[in-house]
Order: sequence, then C-alpha cells, then structure tokens
Amino acid sequence: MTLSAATMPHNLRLIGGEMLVWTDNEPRRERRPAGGGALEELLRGLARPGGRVLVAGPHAPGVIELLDRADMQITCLLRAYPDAAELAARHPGVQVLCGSVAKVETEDPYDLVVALDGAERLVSVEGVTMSWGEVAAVLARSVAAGGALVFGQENLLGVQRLVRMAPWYADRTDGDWTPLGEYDETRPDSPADLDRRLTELGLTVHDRLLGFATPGEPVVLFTDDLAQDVALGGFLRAAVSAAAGAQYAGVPVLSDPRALAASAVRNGAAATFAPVWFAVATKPGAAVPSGSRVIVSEPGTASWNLRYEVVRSSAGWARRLLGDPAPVSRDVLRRDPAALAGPLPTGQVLEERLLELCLRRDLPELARLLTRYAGWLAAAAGQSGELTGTALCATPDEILVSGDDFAYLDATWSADLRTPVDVALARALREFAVKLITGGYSHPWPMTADADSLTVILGGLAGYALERPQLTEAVSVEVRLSAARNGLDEAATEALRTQLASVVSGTPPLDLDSHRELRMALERMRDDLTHAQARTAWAEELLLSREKALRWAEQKLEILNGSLSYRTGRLVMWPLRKIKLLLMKVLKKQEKSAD
Amino acid sequence: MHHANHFYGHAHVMAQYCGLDVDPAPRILGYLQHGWNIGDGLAPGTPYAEGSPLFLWSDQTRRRAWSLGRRNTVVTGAPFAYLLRIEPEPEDTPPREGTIWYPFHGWEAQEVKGDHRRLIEQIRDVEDGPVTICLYWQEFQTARVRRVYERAGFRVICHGYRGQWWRKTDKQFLYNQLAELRRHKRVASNRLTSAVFYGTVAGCEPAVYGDPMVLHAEDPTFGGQARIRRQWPEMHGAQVDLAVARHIANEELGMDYVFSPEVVMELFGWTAVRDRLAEQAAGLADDIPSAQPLAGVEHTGAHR
Repeated sequence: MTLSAATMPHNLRLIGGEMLVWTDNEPRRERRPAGGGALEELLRGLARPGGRVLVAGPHAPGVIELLDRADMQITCLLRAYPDAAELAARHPGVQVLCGSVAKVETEDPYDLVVALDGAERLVSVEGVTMSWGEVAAVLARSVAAGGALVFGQENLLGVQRLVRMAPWYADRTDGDWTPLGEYDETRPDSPADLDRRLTELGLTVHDRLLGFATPGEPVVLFTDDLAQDVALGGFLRAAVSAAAGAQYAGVPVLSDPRALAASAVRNGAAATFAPVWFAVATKPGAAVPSGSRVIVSEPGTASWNLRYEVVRSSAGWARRLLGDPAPVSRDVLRRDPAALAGPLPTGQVLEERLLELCLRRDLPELARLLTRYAGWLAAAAGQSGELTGTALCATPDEILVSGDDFAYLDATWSADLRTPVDVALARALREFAVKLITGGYSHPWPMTADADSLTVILGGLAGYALERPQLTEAVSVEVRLSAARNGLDEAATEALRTQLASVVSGTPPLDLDSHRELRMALERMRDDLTHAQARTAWAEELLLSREKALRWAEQKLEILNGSLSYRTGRLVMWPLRKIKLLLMKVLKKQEKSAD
Repeated sequence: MHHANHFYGHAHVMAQYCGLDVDPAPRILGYLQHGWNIGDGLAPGTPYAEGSPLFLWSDQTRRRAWSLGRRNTVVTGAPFAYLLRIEPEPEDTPPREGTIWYPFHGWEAQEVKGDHRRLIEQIRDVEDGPVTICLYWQEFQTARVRRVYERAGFRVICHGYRGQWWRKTDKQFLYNQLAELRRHKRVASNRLTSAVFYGTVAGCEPAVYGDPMVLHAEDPTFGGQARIRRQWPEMHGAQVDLAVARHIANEELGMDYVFSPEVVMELFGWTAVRDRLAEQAAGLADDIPSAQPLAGVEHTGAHR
C-alpha cells in the first residue's frame, strides 16, 4: 500500500501502530463494527451538541452519523488503515486517528468516549501488546472531567459463545493472533467486575446494561437490574428469544440460542449469559440520563422493523416508540407501529405456557387452555366465523396468557385475509406442533410422527375436529403470511411450503442450523427406524403364527370333508340342490313368458 | 396390534366412541392397557414391538412406565371412562340396591388359592343388602365355585368372556358390567382391581376387604398386594371415604384424559379407517381394514 500526502484524506492522521493491510470490517470472517439501532438509542441520550467525542474502535456508520447529527466534534480511532481512510473520506468533518491505542495522547480529553466494541480491537499487531486493563486505563484517561465513557465488553460465557461451533480458545481467524481471552487477568468477568474495574480507574458507573443476541449488534439492551424483574420476565424472555432467532438464522450453531437465552432470563442469569455487557460511566461532574429501561431494535433491514423502549410508567411498564410510527404494508400483511405504544401487557407467552404444559404432561390443563384459546379466536371472529386483521396474527408465540385472559404481545401486525376460525386455529396449532417436533421437545405424544397428526390432536384438545384439507389450507395461510413478513420470492415461498408440509418426527428446526437439534433429529429418526423394524418383525411373526393356524384349520376342514357324515350329507344334499336349481330355471322361464 | 387390545371389548368400546361401526373393531396401532395395573401398563410378559405406543389409563402409570424404559407412552384414559360417555346413566334408572361383589380371580393360567367360604362369611358380616357375586368366566363355568356362592343365597353372574386371540370376545362385556354396577349401591372386592374403580366412577360406594387370595404364581415384581395396600390405603376397608375414593378412581382411570373421537382416532391410527368408511358409504370402497386376521381358528403361535 502506498501512502502519500496526496492520497491520504486531510482529516486522517497516522499515529503509529497502524495496520496498513487490515480491516475490522469483514463480515464474511465475522469481523463487523459495533453498532445497530439499540446502541444508537443508548448513545442518543449521551450525545451533547458541541461536545468532543472519541469513538474508539470499529463502529457502524450509524453510530458516527448519530453523533454527527448531534453536532458533536468527532474523533475516531481505528487501527486499520483502509477502515480509517474510508471513514475519513465519508465524513470530512470527522478527525480520524489511525493506529494503536497505545499511541493515543490523553492530554486533551473528551466529553464522551464511545468504545462499544470493547478493548481488544484497539490494540494493533504493530508495537506493544496491551492487556485489557491497560487499554481501559487509556480510555479512562481520555474522559474529561464531567465527561462520560460508554464501554462494551463481550462476555466469553455469553450465549453467542456457548452456541459457537468452536470455543474462543480455538479461534484461528486472522484476527486471533494472540487469543488470550479469559486468561487476561485484567479482563472483567461480569458486569459487576466491569463496574469495579472502571471505578478503580476513577470513573463512576451509572448504568450497566446487558445486550442480546450478538456482542457487536445487540438488538435487545436492558439495564441489569431488570434481569430479576418478575413483571418483565415474560416480555424479556420473548424479546431475547426473538433476537437470538433472528440473529442466528442460517448461522451454524451448536444448539438453539433462543432456548438458551430464554433460559438465562428465566433463571435470573441474564447477566451471566448475556453476549455483551455495557457500562455507562462518568468522571465527577457529569450529568447523564440513567434509569431502568429496555431498548429493542428489531434486526434486519425491513422497513417495518421497529425500534422502541420499555420504561416505567405510572401503571407498570410501558412501551414507547423510538422510530417512525407510519404503517407499512407488504402483500396481505400490514404493520402499524402505533399499536405498540402504551402499557406493556403482562403474562406468559402462550407458546411458552403450552410448552410447559406439554413438559408437565398436564393434558387436562392443556386441553382447557387450548379450548379457551380457540374460544378467544372464535369470539374475535364473531358472527362471520372468519378471522382477519390482528386476530389472524394471534399465534401462540404472539399472545400472552395471564390467568384465563389473553393479550397481544405485539398488536402491530394485521393481515388483510379472511380465514375460517378452524383454519386459523389449525395454522396456529400447526406452528406450535412444528416447534414441538423440530425443537426436539419432550411432549405427550412421542409416537405422533408428523406435524399434521399432532395438529389434529391439539385441535381435538381445543374442541375442534380438524381434517387434512383444513391443515393444507392452514399451511397455505402460514406460507402466505410468512412470505409477506420475510419478503420471500416465489421460489423461497414454495420451498417453505414444501418444508412446512413435510415436517415429520425426524425433521430438524426449519429456521435454524443447529448441531444439537440435528443430532436430536437423527436420534428420533433412529427411534423411528427401530420401531419400524420391530413392527415388521412383529408382523412377520404374527403372519407365521396365523399361517400355521390357517394350515391347522384347513387340515381340520379336509378331515371333516372326508368324514362319513359329511359325505352322507353331501349325498343327500346333492339331488335336493339340483332340484332347487331346476325349479328356479322353470320359474324364470315362466316369468319371462308372462312378460 | 396386540390381541389384548380387544379384551373385554375394549377396542369395540373405543370404536363405538369414535363412531366407527365396524365389526370387529379396527386394529389399534399400539398397546391399549387392558386392566388396572401397578406396573408399566402392559400385562407381565406381553411381547412388545420396540417403540410401539402404549395407551395408558393414568398419568401415574405413564410415569411408572417411563421410569421402566417405556418411551412411547400416551395417556388416553381407560376404555371404561369412554363407555361412561357413550352410555350416560338413564334418568329412569331404578333405585340402586345392594352390593356387587367381585371375588378376586386369577387369569386362566394362574390358580387361585383361598377359601371362598370364609370370604362368604365376611361378605355376610359386612353387607346388609342383597349381594350379587360377579365371577370371572372361568370360575363361573366351574360349577363347584358357582354353587358355593349360590348356596349362600347370593345372585351369581358373569359379565362375559374377555376373549383371546380375537376369538369369542364378548363385545358387551363392559356394557354388561356397567349395567350391573348401576343396579348396585356398593361395589366390593377382596382386592383393589379395575372393577372396584369402575364401580366407583359408575356411582357405587367402593369397599375392599376380605382375604385377598394370593395367587400361586403371582408376579412380585411390582410389590404385589402389600404394595397396593400401602399405596392406596384409602381404598381399603369395609367402609371408605367416598370423596377420596372417587378422586383416586378418577385418577386411576384417567377420567380427565378422555379425549375427543378425533384425538383417539389419530392416536390409534384409525383416521384411515374412518376415511375408508366414509368412502364406502359413498360407494367408493368395499373393504375395511380389520383387526381380525382370521376368525374361527385356534391360535397356535407364540404371540400370547
């Protein structure tokens, strides 16, 4: 690479230790800058017009743009020259420092230091190596009196690491030249430890936040005091599970991160298993907003993805939209963000409750709850007997149950489609059946091989007699809505239809490439095969015994045929039979002639 | 699969419940528990095709079966529970009186040891109304045993032959039993058995007393009579707490696990039978899958 004053942007300064042939933005090799909607919302409250901000490490463009829009004087520190040059060219008003954090001068500290990516990627292959503590010390010194630091720390015990196909100590990508990981004794091992270490560096931690489901782009962020909040538990479980599902779709993983993330929250261990922790810390004299809250920024680029926060209100918890409230439509599906705002409904996600009842084997209660759910859907359909709008989107994963009441977890979705209640119910129950089977859950009907069969059973428990044509229609509804929601083209839509229609006991998850679930599916197939072989052997044995019985019966018959009484009987009967036949012929003739 | 599914007309009752008017009842793709059981739901020694579903009466039996290695277990409740749904008690049923007493019997291959006369004395001491003695078909056919009870002034009946190898199954067995139970105020036995539970859910006051007549070759694997008395002491005695007894009977017969015909047909693999019947009614098909490989011949094979 040739560097000259003529080719280098005017706002880029090489400070030493720069990596000239390297980039920290190579998604194909799992190197991505930190950012995303949730982190932007976190920063929004910390940005001060006219203030000086140091953005240390690779950050997504959205982060820089947000600070730029907030009229902050921005300095960025990047170790990779191509990244620095690209940033400098894109933001002529931003001062870009390229090099190792070891070379950063801290005489002129900043009002805000943003290090959402943590400490590791601030150190270069060039020059000195630095421990976590040494990097953090530079960052802390860079915070001016009255200033603030936002720091992100990846958790090596986080869900993202637990489901990875290789452990951190086996990482061998180009970025892992010294994979010290947890052996760096200065590295914090919990949010509380991060707090302690920053305090030792002269900072006061105001907020500690937990991020799911990836360290670089957490889409659910919440203050760590909420990890134990019972009233928020149901919502948080659903939120982290959805985040994991969306962010790991198609990524090979060891096990289902959705189940792990939800379990972490259920067990009050969200901090232990969160992929990333954040600390908002200040030097004396700073005033930063603080308080318990959840920030959610749905992942992906679809125009209907929402950004909102959950904060305390006079009546419990409430959701507040942070983005554009204009409704968006695609095909038959419509999303109205405004429907999200307001008090957060409480309760357990219906799907989670149904799974629990299946694990408990509490079939009477399962039947009762499904009957109530079906009744609730039927009531929503009213006289017409057809569901449409929001009610058509009320599948068990979108509904909260509290006592005997149901509420929409997310009432923003609606479908411009009219579907009979039984088909809508079949679609909802089939979705749950697919989850039961492909997720490998232990459930009360282990021998029920396919999703259709399980749906019929669940429908029966709900008081509905569902039959195959309704199930086919249910799959069509599911495919239509799913295709609209995920923007699938025709080929992908048909592929989904085929996948959904053919879910049997050995089917692994359709939306996740998970090694453990694949192995479980293999075991189910092995069980199926063992059963099929045993049944064949049984049938074979039964056939042999029945053949033997038949031979015995035939022999008996032959003996009887040859007996004197049989032959005497035949001798008597033969002329009588002949006479009967003759009489019948005569009678028929007479009838004909009479005609 | 197994011929025991048809004992006591169980498969027939289930087919009737499902509205499948087929004779014989269609083959059940699995094993239907055919008697109250303190093991895994299968009769001891039943040959089992690995992975086949076990249709069990209660969740307790399912838990036990699971612990014994049975994985494909499904609680469907007892066929008797389904019979109660298809045969609700008529409003004009005459007032109940007396006691129906089930002296414990063994299965054909087992031999009962005990003193019927001593039992009669105990019955006389406890019961103050008319007593009907219901004998197992084998004892009923044994004039010596039947006469002992008749001479004591008891009415002696038999509900029918349970059947073997799909042969001579008295499809009315459970119907007969239900009708008899509904004639009586009390149901009693010298052992806690299916009949006592049936009687309890059919509206009788249960009692278990008298010599339990231990079998010669009784299988002790699951703890036998002593264990039964330890686990269900509330069901034992000449007089028992009716509310408690009804609760236990409901649990043991899986009265809360009676599912709709659609669920039963799906579980038993009967939806194809239903569809064929519908086609037949529409004149499209003429043969119905049958459970009976061959009627009218003695079974000589190993599938006991």
